[in-house]
Amino acid sequence: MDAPAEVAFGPLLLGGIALMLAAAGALVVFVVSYQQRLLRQQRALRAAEAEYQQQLLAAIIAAQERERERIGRDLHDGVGATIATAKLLLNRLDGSLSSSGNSGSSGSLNSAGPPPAGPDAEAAGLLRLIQESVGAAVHDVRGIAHSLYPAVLARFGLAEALQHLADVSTEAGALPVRLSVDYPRPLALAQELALYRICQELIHNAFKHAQGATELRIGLHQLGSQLTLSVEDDGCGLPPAALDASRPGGDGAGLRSMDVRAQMLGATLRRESVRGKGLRTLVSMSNYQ
Amino acid sequence: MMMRKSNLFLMPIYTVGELALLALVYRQTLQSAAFSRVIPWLVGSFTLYVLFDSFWTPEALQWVRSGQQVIQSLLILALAATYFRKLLNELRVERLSQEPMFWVSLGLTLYFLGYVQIALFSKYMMESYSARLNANFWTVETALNYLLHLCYAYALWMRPQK
Repeated sequence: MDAPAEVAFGPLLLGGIALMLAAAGALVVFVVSYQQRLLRQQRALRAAEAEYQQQLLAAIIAAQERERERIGRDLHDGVGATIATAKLLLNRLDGSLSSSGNSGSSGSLNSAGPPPAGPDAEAAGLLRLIQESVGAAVHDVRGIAHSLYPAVLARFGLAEALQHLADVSTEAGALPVRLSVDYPRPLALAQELALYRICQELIHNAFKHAQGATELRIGLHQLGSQLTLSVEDDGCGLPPAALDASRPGGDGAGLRSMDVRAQMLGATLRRESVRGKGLRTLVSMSNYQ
Repeated sequence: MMMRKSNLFLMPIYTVGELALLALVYRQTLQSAAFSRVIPWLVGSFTLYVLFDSFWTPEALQWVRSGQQVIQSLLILALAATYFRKLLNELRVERLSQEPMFWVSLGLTLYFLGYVQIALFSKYMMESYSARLNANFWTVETALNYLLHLCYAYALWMRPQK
């Protein structure tokens, strides 16, 4: 007589277990599918944020370049021209004082003859000092204006601008800069400007950090659809941690700026460093427009 | 003839040990300060309850103690649920199928959701129904146990994601 009760309890418990297992399966399926959906949403959000960040950085760099160009032009055409005019006027003043001195008895202010004496000698010394100062100011203003906006790049292209940069850097720094260029098909000005800025930053970094270096080599080469800009020194090199522009708390504003410019170009920027054997930075572009 | 002796006195030790070990595993996985603070109290309270429940009546160790089993099942299900919640909240794991703790939690969820009813009715079944029906349900429990240990084995076999 107890068979029916067992029959009733057995399937009931079995059904309950089956129901619980089905619930467990449904829960796991829900967790997996919902987690995947959230992950997809998170990836899409990150991609949108990265794109926005990229656009923002590109806009900042473009604005920075416009501002540099404006300041560079103002310096070159405004302050630079004024100081150059002042220098010419000083030269003229010197010339006229010399000629009046030659015709008179007191002698030239700036001639190779016997030195003048008294107040004239003092005036001649002051004039020479002013001429030197104004000459240095003209040189400095031109240097700053060129650094802010490389007019050579706009007029003659990247190869000439790099040559000029190499010459100026060799003159200014303690490190000789050797340039090798094979660049038959010029890029658009914006792309050339980005490559120029990267090169400028790399030279600046080499002067600052490449201790013990004897030479800095810059190469710009085009081969088919591949363009490569390389900057290489034989200095002390950098530890791997210092090469990472994104490391927290790092002093890598210049490195980050180069990375952003390379991204804007659609190029890859690679840094290779062996401790004690120098640093090599390679910017590679392929299929560029 | 072999003398048959009940080994059910081991059950409370196993129950507390299993909960304590799983709690340690989840504490390591969840890395939550609040969870780490709660766990010793939870395991301690459960141990006191098991001691009290096992030694309160002299014949307690001769039966499967449903209360202990059900509470242990619910606590372990809560651990697995906390892990699943963390998975959804933090989204750190890219591929769940490559995550050992996911398989451990899956096995525990399947096993304990099935087992909790067997544990709940075990004493009632033993007292009211035939040995065959009891054996059938303990076979179901064994099958779930295989499933759980297959999940453990798979989790231990796979290379954890970095």
